Amino acid sequence: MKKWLLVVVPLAGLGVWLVLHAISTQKPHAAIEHASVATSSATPAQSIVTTDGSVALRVAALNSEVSALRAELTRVSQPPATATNDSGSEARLETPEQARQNWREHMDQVAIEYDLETRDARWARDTESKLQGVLSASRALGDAVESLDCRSASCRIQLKPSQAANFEDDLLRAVHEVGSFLPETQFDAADPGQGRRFTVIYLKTGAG
Amino acid sequence: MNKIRFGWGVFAAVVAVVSTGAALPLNGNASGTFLASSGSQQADINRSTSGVSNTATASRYVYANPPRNPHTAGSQTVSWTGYSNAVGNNNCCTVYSYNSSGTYVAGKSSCVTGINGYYTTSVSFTTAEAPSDASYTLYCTLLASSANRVQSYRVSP
Repeated sequence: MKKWLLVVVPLAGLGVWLVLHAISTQKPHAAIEHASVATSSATPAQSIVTTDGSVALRVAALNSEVSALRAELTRVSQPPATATNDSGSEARLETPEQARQNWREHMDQVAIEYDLETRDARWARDTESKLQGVLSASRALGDAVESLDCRSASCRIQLKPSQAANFEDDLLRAVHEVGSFLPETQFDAADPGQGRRFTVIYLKTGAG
Repeated sequence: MNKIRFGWGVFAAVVAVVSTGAALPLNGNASGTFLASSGSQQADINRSTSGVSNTATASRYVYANPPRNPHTAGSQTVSWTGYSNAVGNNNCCTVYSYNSSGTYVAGKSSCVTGINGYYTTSVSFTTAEAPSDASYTLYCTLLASSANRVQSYRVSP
């Protein structure tokens, strides 16, 4: 009997000590959870500590509101001329000045690309011959040709101003007639000074 | 009982009409809007519900102005439907864009060959090539002896 007590009493004491130790080392918040809060790509992901997730939900809601406000601010800061197309997405309408600037930048790029284009002698000669034939079919156009030059996939025509009544009609027809082998056309104007102003036409194959 | 069935039938028919109506093209037939590029050749242009054709023995050119929604911006596509009587026909149209000053900005051509029947083709314009204030002219070749037709067109978006 005494031997049995010698085993039970120390074990009971050890159990009491373990319980007291556990209570003394326990952290203030028993349930600790790490919650990741989803954020927009503009802000880094955050990690917060919460007891029941309500704080995380609140932060997520606030982040969502901030993202919405940011998007609204971006929309409001743009010029007011906006419109909705068939697909429902908004597209900005440019002013005539912006359109002219866009076109100027575009044509500057077209001119640079043309100047950098290497000359394929055979293609250039053949295409120049075809173009010359189409232009010469119209007296108004034939008289207006200042220069005609082709490279390897593009051609450039400079036309002098013309007072001929059918000049524009003939030009549209000529561009249309070469459309089967030069389907991309850009119209520009060049002003080399001395009161001269040329119509410059870039024609390009459909290959790019 | 029969009245109820009839009522459901009417309802289904209305739903069917409304649901298919949204898919109709902008210009189901635009033959009346094409003009000969040369005024003296108007008499050679034949207009019917199946499009415009050329009754002369030589090619003629016709043009039309596809309307665009002025409240859209960005790249745009102009498409048209035509008919070719023979596989060997070369059916060419060019779309020109011009700004509010009347200055031509760009031209895009598409020639369809190898078709005996209806075809639809299109060309695309970038934002720079078709600014917000731009308009379009569709310029087409009508082959001799009614060998081809142009029927309809549309601009999207």
